[in-house]
Amino acid sequence: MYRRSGIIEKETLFSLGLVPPIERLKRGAVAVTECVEEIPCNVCEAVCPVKAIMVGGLRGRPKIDWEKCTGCGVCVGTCPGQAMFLVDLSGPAKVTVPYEFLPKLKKGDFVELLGRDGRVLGTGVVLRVFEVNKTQVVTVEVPEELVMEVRSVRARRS
Amino acid sequence: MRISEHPILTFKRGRELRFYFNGKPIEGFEGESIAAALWASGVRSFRNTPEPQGPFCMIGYCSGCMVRVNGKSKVRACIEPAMDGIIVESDVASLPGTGEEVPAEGEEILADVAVVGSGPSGLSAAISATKRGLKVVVFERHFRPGGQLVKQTHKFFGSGELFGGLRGFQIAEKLVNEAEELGVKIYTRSSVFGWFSEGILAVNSNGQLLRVKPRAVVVGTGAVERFLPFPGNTLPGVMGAGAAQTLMNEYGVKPGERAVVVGAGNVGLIVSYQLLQAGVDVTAIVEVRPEIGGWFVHAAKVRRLGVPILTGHTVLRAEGSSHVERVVVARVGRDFQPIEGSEKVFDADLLLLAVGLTPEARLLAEMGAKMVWSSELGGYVPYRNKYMETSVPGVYVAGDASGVEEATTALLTGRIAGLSAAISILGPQKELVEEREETLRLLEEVRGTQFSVKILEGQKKVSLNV
Repeated sequence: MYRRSGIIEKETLFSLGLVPPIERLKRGAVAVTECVEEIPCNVCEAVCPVKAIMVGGLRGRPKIDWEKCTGCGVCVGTCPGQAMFLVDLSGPAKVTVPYEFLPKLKKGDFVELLGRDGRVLGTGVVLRVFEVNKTQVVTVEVPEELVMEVRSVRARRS
Repeated sequence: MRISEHPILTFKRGRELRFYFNGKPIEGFEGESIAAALWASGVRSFRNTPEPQGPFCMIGYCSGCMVRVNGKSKVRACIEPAMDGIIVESDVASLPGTGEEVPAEGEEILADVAVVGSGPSGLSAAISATKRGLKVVVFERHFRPGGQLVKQTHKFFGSGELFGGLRGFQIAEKLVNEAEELGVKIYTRSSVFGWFSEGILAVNSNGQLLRVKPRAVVVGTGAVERFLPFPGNTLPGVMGAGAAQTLMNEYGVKPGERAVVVGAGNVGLIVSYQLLQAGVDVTAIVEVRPEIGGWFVHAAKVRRLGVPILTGHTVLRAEGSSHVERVVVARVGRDFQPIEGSEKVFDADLLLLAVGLTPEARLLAEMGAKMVWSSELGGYVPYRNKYMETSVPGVYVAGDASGVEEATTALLTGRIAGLSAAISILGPQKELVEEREETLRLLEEVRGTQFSVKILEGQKKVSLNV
């Protein structure tokens, strides 16, 4: 279905085992991937500082060891497919997404929260920003029920 | 219009300059092509044709940008640098031209390996051969080296060794720097136009003839974007998706304000994302097949930003008087024919075609290489063995010229061709043979996905076993 629409359903992610258990999310940020095809790429595996990502050769689907993952977000900024995100339910719910647009974002900015279909799901405040080779890795506060929905942000149009 | 701020790119423009187009002054910058400066100034139609016609490919192949420069006819404005004070005029399309006259006497250049094209395949071949102490020369038609990587702003898939995670223009920089540091001589504005059976390449280098006598040749001439037949397809604003990339990512010139993109393969998806980064609205991506052709992750990137992908749709026509103003698309049935009454009209000043590429291997045909049609590989390609040697001994092919794939496979086939050229000169040295085998293994791994099935079928048809 996602090869028709360009949108992967949350149910598909669950059935592929790509969603960490809620207890893990409550312990702090963890990487989740939406890289579901066997792309000849293992950049995430190479950059992970704690070796929590396994691709197995050049080609394969990344598997994330959620116990090892520290939620640092380097993979979010590195993934050429922009298919890595962080989800965090410790304290206020947070999502971390890659961002490559203008204006550049900074802590405290308010942004529109976008779903996989581009719909605006709400507004959130930026909590943290860092950059990996010109990709901004943006952590944003989101309503708890949207942690598996928000996958992009856009600066609010004034 | 020029782009002043970009999330990824910094445009380091050269000195301001001024030239004339049909008598009107045009402001440009050193390092820009004439075509980029004209487009930035709002010129959409370059030629003197009965109906307005715009540039299509922006990489030196189509004739949509042909102008006269200081009286010299049939100059492609897209690969000709803008210079202070030059007189540029619309060429008369129907006049048969003799083209450029090159004096018959020319400098002779002796080299071990001559490489044609300075894209990922050519440079990677050059680097592999030079590392073994061979004298390598590279010929590039454009006034800057790097091929089409220079306009790729997205991060590439791959592993560290294959530049995975780097952006295309960063890979181009690395390759050009490495080649030059190793002593490869890259001749820019140098077009290889002939091959003589004595083993001599004829090169027009800045209007001077070079007679190049190499011991081996690697042809990495790349590919050209495909055109699509529909009413209005010559209107300025209808161009290849890659042409828009050239304008916005190489020169920082906004190609338009609102685009419709035809084709949801990787090129269409990636260019759509890059258009958004350049501040161009993408109204829709239209794909005739029932499914997205490119990687899902590339599709997801644009869908998250609200760009609709209309699968099962085709473009019917482009409308407008002097340039594209509207694009009409329609749903197609199982027979891929448009369904009456399903038309949708989009206001757009850009209609970008991302409907595939075709290998540019005409030089090899001229050299006498046995050619074969492969729809899987995009068109006419030379027969080759797995070491990338064509039917002409000592002549190798690499990259998209051997079959349309992408930059990673171009790097790898380039490396194989460069190593093969080195082996043909130095003999089968152990280290060379081992590196070539390792590269072949890597190539096989990269081609191991479901999306390479077609490529592999094509490879079977055009490869001879040795």
